[in-house]
Amino acid sequence: MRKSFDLKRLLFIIGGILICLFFAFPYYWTVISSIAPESELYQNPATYFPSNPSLEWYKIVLGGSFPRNILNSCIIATSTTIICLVLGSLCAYALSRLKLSISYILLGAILAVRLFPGISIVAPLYMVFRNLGLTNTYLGLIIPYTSFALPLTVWLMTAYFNTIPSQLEDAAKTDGCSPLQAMTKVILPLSLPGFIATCLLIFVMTWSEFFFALIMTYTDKAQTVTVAISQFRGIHEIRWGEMAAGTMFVSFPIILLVVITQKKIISGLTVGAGK
Amino acid sequence: MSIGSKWTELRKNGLNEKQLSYLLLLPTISIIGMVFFLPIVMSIWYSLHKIDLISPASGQPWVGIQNYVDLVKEARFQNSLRVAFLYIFLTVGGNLLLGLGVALFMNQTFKWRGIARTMILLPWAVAPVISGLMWKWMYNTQFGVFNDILLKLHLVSRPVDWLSSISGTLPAISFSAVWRHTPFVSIIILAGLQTISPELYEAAKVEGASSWRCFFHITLPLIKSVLLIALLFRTVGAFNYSFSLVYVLTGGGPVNTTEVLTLYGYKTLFEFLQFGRGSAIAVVISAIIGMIAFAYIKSIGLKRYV
Repeated sequence: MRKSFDLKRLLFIIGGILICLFFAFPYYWTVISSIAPESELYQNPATYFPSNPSLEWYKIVLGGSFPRNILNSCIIATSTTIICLVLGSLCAYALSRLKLSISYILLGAILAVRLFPGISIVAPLYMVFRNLGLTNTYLGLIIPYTSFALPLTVWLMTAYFNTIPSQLEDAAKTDGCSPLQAMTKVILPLSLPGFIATCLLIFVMTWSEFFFALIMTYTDKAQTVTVAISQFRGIHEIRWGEMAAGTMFVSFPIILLVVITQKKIISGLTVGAGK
Repeated sequence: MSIGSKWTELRKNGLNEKQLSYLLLLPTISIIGMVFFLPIVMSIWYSLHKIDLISPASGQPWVGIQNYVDLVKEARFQNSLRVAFLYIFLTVGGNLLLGLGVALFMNQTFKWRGIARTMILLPWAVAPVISGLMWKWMYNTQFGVFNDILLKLHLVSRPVDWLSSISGTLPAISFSAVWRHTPFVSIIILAGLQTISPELYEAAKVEGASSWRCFFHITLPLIKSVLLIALLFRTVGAFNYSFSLVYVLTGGGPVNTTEVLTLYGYKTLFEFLQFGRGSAIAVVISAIIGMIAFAYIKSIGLKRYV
């Protein structure tokens, strides 16, 4: 029989609500700030439910150069994702299937690259890119992003390929397929879920990058959303309403992705951590 | 065999396995080699020279390990190293404790679990630098919601300057990093929890073990390796992401009390334009991360992936 009052259960519910509030509240606050008119945004005490919601900040943000920054981010993130998926999964396939003596060293090197921060390579890249005229271009960001996202791709895809039994290819080969055909016709279609998870993680990682974008781009020609939002400055302060509206534009697509595909993302994150 | 006949053989049989695998590895290896390993070597080379972009006329003379010697003696470098480790300690500690709590919570079955999971994943969808800006607005002394809540709960009597106190600013930054990075930790720990067979708990319950005993004698030992992975990933991540958070939240202030090593390195390179000295800082950072990465690879063991 269920007890009418269960202290343990009550504590559990309160704890759960507090945890969810902690994680969701900053986002709620950004939404509120993005629709609060200036008079309510800079008001004491703060308004938790704006009485006159307006889309003023969104109009201001869209009227400036921000749409261009969104386009830049889209192009850079999409190109990086495609390049990484194609090259990285080929490499992962070789590591997973065709047993090589150098696989061990390679996987170690790839994992090491994943852990290093941008600052360890940024100075020479900046010098070389400046000489080649690659600063403030899409390529100037796609190249470093690819080198950081490729190891993640290889790592995730190797793990996915390892879950597909190699008997499938052996059967294909017995039926007269070449190793290349066995890969493209049997294994690639089967690893589609892995591809989707990897694709999402690379896209989010590239979309969110700040350090290289800050250094390599300096005008709206190639500047990405993260840098643009961090530079919504007035004379003294960041213009908070615009920051909030910009944040909504940048985060909303990702949040939508997370809501729709959270199971895939979670599986990618856990494999990515090397579980 | 002549090239011609080799080519005919290739056309007839396709590539053999070994040739195919090297062909598949080649693009990734060359990109990582050229855009990662080569720049690392170049960073080391730069760090042994005096390169001031402000005065290009002075050339780039070889100075040996002078840049490193200067750094070790410099108070600002020592400070940034100390701040970086304090930041990592606060952030990763918070990540693991809260992440474990959240994972245990999510491991229960309850009605709105799907909604709760989405809410907990929200911070992960926000770029770290943007999460920094969101928190900067919440920490705002005059209009920030943080002070508003604390004033309403009567926890403080007047607004607190969260981002300009000598001792309180670094914890405030770490707190925002705990918010941004805990979802990742809890997802990894949750995956670990879900591998534990429920029969173990049932058996323990039959023998009369309390929930606390179950936690310390079954749960913790079985998720030890997952916790280790989360610890090492977050340590490296905290080191790397400290830049964007501190850059937007305080820029290193007040009086350099939040200037982490990555931020100091960035300033030396791109504000003071001292590429030799800045590269020396980059090499120090790489060495620290390298040691952590080595420990990580050793602890998980690569064998089962190859």
